[in-house]
Amino acid sequence: MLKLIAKFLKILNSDAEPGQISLAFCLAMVAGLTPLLSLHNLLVLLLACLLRANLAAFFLGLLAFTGVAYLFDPLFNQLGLALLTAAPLHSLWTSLYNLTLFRLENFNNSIVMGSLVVSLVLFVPMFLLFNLLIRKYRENLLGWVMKSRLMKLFLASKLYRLYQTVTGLGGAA
Amino acid sequence: MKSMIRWQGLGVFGFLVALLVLFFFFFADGLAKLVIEKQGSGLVGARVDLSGAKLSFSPTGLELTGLQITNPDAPMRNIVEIDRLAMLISPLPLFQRKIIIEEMSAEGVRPDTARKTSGALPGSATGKKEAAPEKTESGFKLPSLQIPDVKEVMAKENLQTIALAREYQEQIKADKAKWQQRLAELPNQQKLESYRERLNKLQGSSGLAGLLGGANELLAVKNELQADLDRLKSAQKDFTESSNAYKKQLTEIENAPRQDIKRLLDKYGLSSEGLANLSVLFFGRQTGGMIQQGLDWYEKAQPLLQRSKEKKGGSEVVKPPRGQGVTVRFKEEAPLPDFLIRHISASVKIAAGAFAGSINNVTPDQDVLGAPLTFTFGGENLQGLRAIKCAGVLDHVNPAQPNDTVNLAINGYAIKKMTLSSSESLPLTIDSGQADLTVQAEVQNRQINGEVQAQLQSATIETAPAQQGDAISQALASALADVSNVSVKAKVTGTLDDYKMALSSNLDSLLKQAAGKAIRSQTAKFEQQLKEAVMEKAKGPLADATGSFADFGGISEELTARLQAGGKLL
Repeated sequence: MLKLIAKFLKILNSDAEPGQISLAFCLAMVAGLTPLLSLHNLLVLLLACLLRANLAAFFLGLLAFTGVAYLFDPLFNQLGLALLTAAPLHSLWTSLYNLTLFRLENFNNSIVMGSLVVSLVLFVPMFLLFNLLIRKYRENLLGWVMKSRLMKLFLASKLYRLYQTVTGLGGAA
Repeated sequence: MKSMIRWQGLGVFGFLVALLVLFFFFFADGLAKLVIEKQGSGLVGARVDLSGAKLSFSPTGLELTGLQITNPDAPMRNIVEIDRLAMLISPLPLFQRKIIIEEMSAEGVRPDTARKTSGALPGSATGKKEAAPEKTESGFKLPSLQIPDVKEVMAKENLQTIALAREYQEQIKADKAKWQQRLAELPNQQKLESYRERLNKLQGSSGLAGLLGGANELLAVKNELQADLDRLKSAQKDFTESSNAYKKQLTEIENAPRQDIKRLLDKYGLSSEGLANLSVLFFGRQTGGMIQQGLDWYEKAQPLLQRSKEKKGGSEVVKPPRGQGVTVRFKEEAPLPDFLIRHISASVKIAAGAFAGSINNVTPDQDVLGAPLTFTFGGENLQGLRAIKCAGVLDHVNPAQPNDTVNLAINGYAIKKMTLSSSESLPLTIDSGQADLTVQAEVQNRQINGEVQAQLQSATIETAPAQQGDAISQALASALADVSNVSVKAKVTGTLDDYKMALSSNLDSLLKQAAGKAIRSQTAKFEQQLKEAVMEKAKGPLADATGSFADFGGISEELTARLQAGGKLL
C-alpha cells in the first residue's frame, strides 16, 4: 500500500504533463473496469504504449480500477443486458456477432458490453476532470505536501530512494 | 512540442505481448489444469482433480490424465475416474469462443471409485445427503406375522364399552337427582290425603245453604285435584320418554363389546390381503433404489443436455456461471453450439471387467446442432455377467418438448447372497441364481414412463424364520423354499419429482395362497381370546350400567302410586 502511495505521489509530483497522466488513468479505467482478459484491452495497452501516456500511472490506475470494478458489476450487467436486448440495436449486434473479431471480443456478454460502454462514455469527462485535478493539486497542494512532515519523513526513507532509482518508464519518455 | 506518438512504445507493447505469449506457452498446461479443476469443481459442486493436462497446437488438442470427479453426495467417492482423456479440438471455432471437440477418447473409465481424501469443497453442503437416513434401506418392513398377545393388547387399548358404561351411569345419576327434585315438587301422598279429608268434609255438610256452598267448594277441590293429577301424568309421560331413551342406550352399551372386538381385530389381526403384494416388500427396495439411482444420474446429466436460456428482445439470453454476467446470443449465419463433443469413444472398467461404448453429440445446445445425444455401451462375457447392453437417445432438439429414451439389457447376471428381507419374522436371501434384467424408460417433458423386468432362474432362496411358533412365517418360508424361478415386473409412471412404482411378481399369488390358511386359523384363535378378554374387562361396568337403569325405574313406581291414589279420589 505504501509503495503504491509512494509511486502515486512520485507521478503526481513529477514534471510529467498532466495530460499524459490523465490519459494513462483513462486508458487504465477502460482496461480496469472491463474484464481484463478482453480483446479490446490489447488495443488499450497498445494505445498506452504508443501514445505519450504515463505508463506508471497506467499500471497504477489499472490496479485501482480493477480493484473497484467488481463493485459495479451489477450495474454493468443491467446496462449491458439492456443494450444487447434493445430491439433497435438487434440488427447491429447480429452483424457483429457474425464477425469472428467481435466474437473474440465477447461483446455479447452483458458485463463486457456494460463496462465498455460506461468506460468509453466516461473517457473524455474523466480525462478533463483528471487534468483539472492534477493542475489544481500542483498549483495549490504540491508545495504544502512537499513541506509536510510526513512527506519529509517519506522522502528521507529508504523506500523513496529505492523508487527514485525506478524512474525508467515513469517519465515522459 | 513533443509528438503525440511514442514510437518506442511499440517496442514496449511488443515486449509485453511477447511476455504474455511466452507465459502462455510455458504455463499453458498448468493453466489448463487449473481452469479445468476450478471450472469443473464449480459445475459439479465437488472437487475435480487432474494429475496433468497437456495442450497441443498441431493438431489442436488437449490430453488430460488422472481425472477424478468427486460425487457431491458422497465426497469420499468419485462419480467417475478416467485414466486418460484425449481430445481433438477444431481450431477455427475457438476464435468464435466455441469449443468443438471432434473426437474424444476416454480410456480407463471407472465409475464410483473410492477417494483417498475428501472431495468436498470448503464451506459447501457437499456430502450432507450422506448423513440423511437411507429411506430405501429401512423404509420397507415386512408386516408383523405374529399374533399379538391379548393381554398386551388389552393393557394398551381403552375399551369403548367401559367409557360408554361409565358415561351412562353418570348421566342416569344426574338425571335421577333431577327427577327426585321434580317428585318433591309434585303432589305427594300427604297432599293427596289432604284432598281426601277436604272432600269427606264437604260431602258431610247439611242444610240447603250448606249443600249449595258445599257443592261449589267440592267442584273447586276436584278441579284442584285434577290439575295436580294432570301434572303427575305429564311427569309420568316425560319420565317414560326418558326411561325409553335410557333403555335404548343400554342396549347399545350391551352391544359395544362387539364393536370393541371388531376394532381390535382390525387393528391387531392378520389379513391375507396384507400379504397380497409381498413382492413390493421383497423387491421394492432393490428396484426402487435402482430406479432412483438412474433418475439421480439423469438429473445430474441435465446441464449437459440443455442449458438455461430465455428469449429477450428477439435474442437468446444464456445464463453463464454466477458473477459473469449473461451472454446474449444472436442469430448465426452458420449456427454452431458453444460447446460440442461430436464423438466420444470410451472403455469402461467395472468390477466385472471392461466394456466399451460411444457417445455422440454431447452439447447443451442441441437445438442449435439439430441432433440429439445418442449413446450405446455393450460388453460380453464379463465376470458374473454374460452380457450387458445399454443404448439411449436424449433428445432435447426441441427444448420445450424433450424426449429421452434409455434401454438397458443385462443377461446372465450371477446373483450371490442378495438380501431381500432382513425382517426378523421372515429373513429372506437369494443364495444364488442367474438374473436377466431389462429396463425401458422414456422421459417426456419430465413425465416418466418406465418398465423394469427381471427374470431370476435357478434360484435358491434361503429363509429362516426366527419365531418357531409363527405359523404364518413358517408357511411363507416353506412356500419360498420350493421357488426356483422368480419374475418381477415394475412399472414406473408419474413425474420425475413424484413418480409411482407398481411392482408385481409371480410370488404374490403363491405367498398369498400359502399364508391364507395359516392366517385364517391364527385370526380365529386371536378373535376368541380377544372376545373373552373384552367381555371379562367390560363385565363389571356393564353390570353397573344395568343396575343404574333398574334404580332409575323406582321413580316410575312412585309416580304410578301417586296417580293411582289420586285417581281413586275422583
